[in-house]
Amino acid sequence: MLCSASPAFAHAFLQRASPPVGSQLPVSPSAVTITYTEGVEPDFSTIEVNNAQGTRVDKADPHLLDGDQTKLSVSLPKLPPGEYTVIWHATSVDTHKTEGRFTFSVVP
Amino acid sequence: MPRFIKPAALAAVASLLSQPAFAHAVAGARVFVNTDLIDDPGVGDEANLPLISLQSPDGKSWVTDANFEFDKTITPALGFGAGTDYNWISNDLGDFKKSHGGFDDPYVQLKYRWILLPEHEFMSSVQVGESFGRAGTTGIDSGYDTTTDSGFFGKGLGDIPWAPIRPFAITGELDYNIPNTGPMRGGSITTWSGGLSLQYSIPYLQSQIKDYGLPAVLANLTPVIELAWSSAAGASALRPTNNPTTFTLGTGAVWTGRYYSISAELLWPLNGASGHGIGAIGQFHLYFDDLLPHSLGKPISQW
Repeated sequence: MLCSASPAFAHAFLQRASPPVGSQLPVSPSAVTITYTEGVEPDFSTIEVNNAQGTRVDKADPHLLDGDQTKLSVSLPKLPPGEYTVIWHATSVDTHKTEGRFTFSVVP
Repeated sequence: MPRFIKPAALAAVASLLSQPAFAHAVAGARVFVNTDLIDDPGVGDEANLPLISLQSPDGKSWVTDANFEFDKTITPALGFGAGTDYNWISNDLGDFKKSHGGFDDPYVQLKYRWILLPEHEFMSSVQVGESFGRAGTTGIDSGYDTTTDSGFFGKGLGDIPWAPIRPFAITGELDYNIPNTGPMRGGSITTWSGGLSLQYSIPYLQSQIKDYGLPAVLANLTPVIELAWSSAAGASALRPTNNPTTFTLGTGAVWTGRYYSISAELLWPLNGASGHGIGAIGQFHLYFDDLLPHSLGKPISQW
């Protein structure tokens, strides 16, 4: 029982992001998409994008991209130039919780 | 677990080489890697398979230590561990017949994570451990049991608003080792031991600060510097020749994968009592919480 075969999953850590972590963009991105190292549960995972004043600017619609459980995305309105902070919380499909934050900038 | 029955330098090396328990520790966005000379501050479902080290206590003989340990969570914050070491002592590397080996004291430990502050990437835990003398190989094991009370902490610097130092983390361990020698004492004394580690997490740099597009072999690497120390405690410290203070520096890195990690460090004795010449230490470490998340890798309270 203890060692019964079961699917192997792991903590869902950020593998890559679009826009990339710490990047500077000439135009506003239409979404923030995070690719995790493992699949996540969209109902228990969030991505929040705040502007430099701490005001949330994303459309609060976290969803899997193309049904891929490793890709969670949130839509953005057209963002004015400035620095933005992405705060994410993920619950992997095996219920491990992880979190993190990073910034990107829209430059004129 | 410290061994006081051996000559001081050998005991210092053996003590250093057999630091038990290396848990998978996550505090917010920070992962404290499993270091080689001190334990990390977490409680986890993991195993050392094994932790191997090689160092010379006197410049002539070499001590090889293979530590095997299994750690199991009872609740997410409480866990126990059990392990032992196989020591191989080579008095002459050119003459195999002059070598001998055997099992050191088996040990058990109970660890409790009493502080977890994800937003500050901080955690702390306490542990009580017991090693069982006379339960290993005669001549390798101790002649008495030892109780060890330990405290651990880990602090990531990710909450400091200066990007260059945010990938750094510091962990520490402090042990009070009490030999249970009974009324005869047997010449054994209480000791302090512990250490600090400074870690630079490239995974943290890549995922929290700036993605440099590094290949996986570098992106999963955490360079580490560790300083381990031991010394006599209380009145025993007045007889330093019986149990001299030792300082050992470890420099290396930990590579963390999905289900395991691999580490390697060079060992630098910082005084004569700590050994002679450069040694080495490394480990293969399994994460059962990720490998078997629905069975062996989850706390017993959730079975």
